[in-house]
Amino acid sequence: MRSELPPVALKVLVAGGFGVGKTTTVGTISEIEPLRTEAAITDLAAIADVSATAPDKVHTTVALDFGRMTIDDTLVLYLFGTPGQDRFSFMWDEIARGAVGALVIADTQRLACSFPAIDYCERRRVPFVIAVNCFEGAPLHDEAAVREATAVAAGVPILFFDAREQNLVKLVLTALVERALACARGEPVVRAS
Amino acid sequence: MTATPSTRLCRPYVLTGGRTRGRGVDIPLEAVALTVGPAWESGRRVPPEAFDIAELCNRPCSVAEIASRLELPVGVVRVLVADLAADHALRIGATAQADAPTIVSVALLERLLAGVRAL
Ligand SMILES: Nc1nc2c(ncn2[C@@H]2O[C@H](COP(=O)(O)OP(=O)(O)OP(=O)(O)O)[C@@H](O)[C@H]2O)c(=O)[nH]1
Ligand SMILES: [Mg+2]
Repeated sequence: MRSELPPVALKVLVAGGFGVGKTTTVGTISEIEPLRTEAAITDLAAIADVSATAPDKVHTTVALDFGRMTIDDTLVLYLFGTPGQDRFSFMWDEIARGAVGALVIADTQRLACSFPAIDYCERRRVPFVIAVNCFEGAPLHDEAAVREATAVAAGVPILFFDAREQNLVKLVLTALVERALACARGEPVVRAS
Repeated sequence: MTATPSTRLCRPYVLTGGRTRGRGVDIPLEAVALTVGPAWESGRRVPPEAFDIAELCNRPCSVAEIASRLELPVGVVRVLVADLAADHALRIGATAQADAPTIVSVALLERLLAGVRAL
């Protein structure tokens, strides 16, 4: 019988609208090739519930991609890229439970498509940062404009990055963990109103 | 080795004896399993997929990774991992979800922050 304990596992959500660079972000920083799994809706309970009422829906699966970062011998961090479309947001609950927080990725040209992810984090009190993926060239909006458009709490970091650049993804992740720590120490996740 | 969609449709019931609730359903996707002993000592019938899991988890492996690498539904992996843990064949690592209901503990976040900065 082996005596060692498995490492403690933490997780981060990588959320945001359709095609904003979630999978790219996970792949840039993961030590393994991003993996896919079919989560939540393939759970046995879900199959049982769905198949009772709509047998033809049993095949409905949601692909979830994820990566891994070994922090040290006893701590590992998983990054879960959530499906972009609104209709999959029901499965965020499962991934959000116990998460350190969320990287909300936004495309500088289509900020609004990441608003549902921001709404979700605020509603569920999930600490988050907004990471604006700049794709080619300069961002279309500066930080003040993004802050105004999103109306997030003053403490929510807004960063500009390139999802393909490891150092930048690392900075975004560091900002998220700092934000999560501030929230764990009592700073509110949402703006007091 | 590749499961086709049609085999996946019915196999969950076969693999788990039709159990849809109970043991295993709460194991988080990120929880890491590690094999610590043999899977066959319980005397219970152990499905081949459980042996696959036990072998894969000779190195630490999360529920999500097990499902992805063995192409099994997450719900099936949860039940089989829970059974293996109940038989003392593997151990399941701690997660924030199990330890704290909402926000991850300060101590754990400090460890994570130091680790991320050091990468
Ligand atoms: N030029 C450029 N292309 C990028 C960048 N990030 C992502 N892309 C490309 O944009 C496309 C979408 O990126 P993904 O990472 O798949 O986006 P996603 O958010 O996972 O998309 P869904 O899962 O479909 O919602 C891909 O073709 C990427 O190669 C970037 O920073 N710069
Ligand atoms: Mg994707």
